[in-house]
Amino acid sequence: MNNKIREGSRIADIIMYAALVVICFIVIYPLWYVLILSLSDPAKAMTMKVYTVPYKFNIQSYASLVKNNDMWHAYAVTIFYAVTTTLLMLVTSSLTAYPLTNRNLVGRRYVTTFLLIPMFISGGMIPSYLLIHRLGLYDSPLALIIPACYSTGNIILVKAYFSTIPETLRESAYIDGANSFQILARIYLPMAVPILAVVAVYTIVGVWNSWFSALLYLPHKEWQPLQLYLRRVIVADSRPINTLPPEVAAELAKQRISAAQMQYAMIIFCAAPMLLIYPFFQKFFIRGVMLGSLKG
Amino acid sequence: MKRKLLSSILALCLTLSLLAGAVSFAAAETATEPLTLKMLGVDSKAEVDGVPNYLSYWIEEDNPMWHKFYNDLLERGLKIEPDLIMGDQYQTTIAAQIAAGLSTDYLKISPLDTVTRLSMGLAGDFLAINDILEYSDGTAKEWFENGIGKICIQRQSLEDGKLYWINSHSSSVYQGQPASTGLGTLIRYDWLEKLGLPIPTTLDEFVETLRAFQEQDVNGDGLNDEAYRIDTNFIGIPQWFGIGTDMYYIDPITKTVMTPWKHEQIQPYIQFIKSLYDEGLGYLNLESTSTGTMMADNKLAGYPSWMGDFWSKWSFVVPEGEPAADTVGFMIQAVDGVEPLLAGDGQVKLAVSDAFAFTKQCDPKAAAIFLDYICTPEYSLFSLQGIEGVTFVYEEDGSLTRIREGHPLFNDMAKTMAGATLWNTDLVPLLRPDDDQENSAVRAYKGLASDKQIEVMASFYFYPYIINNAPDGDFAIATQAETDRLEELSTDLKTYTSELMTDLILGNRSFDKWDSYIADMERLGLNDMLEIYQARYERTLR
Repeated sequence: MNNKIREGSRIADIIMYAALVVICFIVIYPLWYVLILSLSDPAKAMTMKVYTVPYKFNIQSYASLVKNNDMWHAYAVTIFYAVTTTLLMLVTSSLTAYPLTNRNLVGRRYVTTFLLIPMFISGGMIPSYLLIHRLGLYDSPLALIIPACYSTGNIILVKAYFSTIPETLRESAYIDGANSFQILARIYLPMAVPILAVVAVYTIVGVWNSWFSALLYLPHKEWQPLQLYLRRVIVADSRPINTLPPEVAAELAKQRISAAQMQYAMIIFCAAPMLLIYPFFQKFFIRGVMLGSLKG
Repeated sequence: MKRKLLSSILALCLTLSLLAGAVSFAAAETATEPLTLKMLGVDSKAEVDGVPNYLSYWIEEDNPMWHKFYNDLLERGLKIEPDLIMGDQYQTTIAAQIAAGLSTDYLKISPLDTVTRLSMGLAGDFLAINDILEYSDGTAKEWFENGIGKICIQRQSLEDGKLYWINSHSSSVYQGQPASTGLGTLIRYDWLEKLGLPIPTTLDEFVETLRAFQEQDVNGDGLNDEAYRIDTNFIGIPQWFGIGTDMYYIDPITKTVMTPWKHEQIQPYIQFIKSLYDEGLGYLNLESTSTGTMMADNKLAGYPSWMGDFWSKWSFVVPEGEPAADTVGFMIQAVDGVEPLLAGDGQVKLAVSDAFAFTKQCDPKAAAIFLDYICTPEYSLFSLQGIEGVTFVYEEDGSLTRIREGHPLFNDMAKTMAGATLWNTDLVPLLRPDDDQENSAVRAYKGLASDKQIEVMASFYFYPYIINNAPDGDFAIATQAETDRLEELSTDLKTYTSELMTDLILGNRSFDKWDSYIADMERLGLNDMLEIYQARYERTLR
């Protein structure tokens, strides 16, 4: 029987391209929608009836945001978290993965199993909270950095990559008088730049988007990250006004009007860094996804 | 002899110096440090000229309002240490801190549900207010035993007879008489004026008015889209039919616990709402078109709200050149022989949702000092109006005027007068005895609300048939067993009745099967619920 769907088939190409266009539209349009609402007249933005281009171009909300010290503070804090957590993640992943690549390590199998178990089984939110509290990390930025700087998944990724480096290189280095740290620093790490870039990018994106840990462990806004600040703006007080005392209702009504367009501008502001850097690191994301799926 | 005299004088000097040392030591002991009260509350937010203003900013800047509050307490021997949490995080924070062990002396417990409050109270995690009052200088004791605070003891004391938290509570007066703020139905007064129509006084006039808004395209957008917002939560039009505000309520005429679903006018009410919806004169508050969108599109013909609601008009976007949106409250007697009710907060109001407690590690003397201060008329005036000469002045006739923009004394501090609400209900319970609506509303709203709106609002202050818009405040607190039973049945009942209301209005269910719907509600526990609330009401009357 003739197989009409074969490589080079024009119909198949048309169908695939059409499907990709639809998928692209579904992915890109919501972002475009938020962008044009943030650049539209505030009253029209509140109706949410702007679909293609901004209505009466207006950058009032961006102008207000730029003057918003709280937002810039949250931005700086988030950059701090991203940088420190990423550096620590690279250190912990490398230092844990390297010994596990040594076949002569006593109890290597048991250590690997010990690392894998918490990857699948977690204590849950309350035990985690109690642990953070008892360690004295509550209301401290370390509550967001320390638990996030260690990942079994990343250790496995780095270990898998280290395993592709020929064993003979390590043996040669030993013969030449290098110790383990020198071999790691001068041979393995320079060769593992691609996988370290993958781990770094994953970590940066993960830290940039996180907010729940901050909600639990950081009750004061001094060290709260940008996404928690964004959540605060987006999830405005939604209590029905007619159940509140009149003076509270009046205050809430005023806040809802001014928050309407600001929310869209804040979304763009918070997503912009990741949107801008993503194209440059895209190849690392793809490489990271493929790692571990192909052997040899 | 001389030697003996010298020895005696020396001995006397030594004795006197010893005594002096002992006295000064005792004096040093009594000149103690002030007691400390660690307070956990919400870092509440107000907007001033579109810029967010937080209570924590006031503390950092030593704002005059905060400065007075702090120093008044310090003079009484109490140093407060506030720990403020952002509003959206507060519930998570106190839940987590309760799990890990509370380290504060006083906190807002509003986000805790009744079950948690009850169990914490009975377990001794909170100090009993009754025990704290033993250390009172008399002010707080008088307030809670004989004054307006008595409502807290009557309605919020637990099974052991003790009160473990304080709710916000207040009473209102107007022209020297007990008054109640009304919550009802508002209609677009600017549209009535534009079309030369009177405020409706009958159901037929109300429908004709809504039709006229559409037929004459009063908002000028070329579409017949002007509509009333139908509230399925029993606020506004249901009261025209004599129906209360929630799944349960105390009927002000019969003084019995009722449910709207067994009221004889419930079917006529729903049928009336359905007719509005079918004709396109009303839209449901559950639909995708939100009230905010309808306001922004200038399509909203009316909605349920406080009679003095002037703030919502800022949400209406009217065409250029048109007068600003304006609303006015009104009431209709829908059925002959059935007195319409008015939803409101009652002359004496207890806000069950706003609660504050002292924890077991709190020094009861510190708690007593705090209560003695906030139960004074001076504090009540300060929390409501601010500081004389800074945020308000007394006129020659003794009336009170807030210093607003345009007043000769207007200043930046007066601008943040909204700050009076910054800590009320978020750090300190709202306690306002004899809150004179003349100052709080009638005069305060001048320039913000229209004269007609203020006039109508004031006309409802003495309406005799008030139904509490938050009826839980009318009942004594539930026992543990009652709370458990209510927890079991309330969710299913609310879900069922909410869906039933929507389906009836949309025409998805028929009124012919009404008896089966009531049977379903009874199967879900409606009668049990009413029995519980009746028992709670009877305890309130004792």
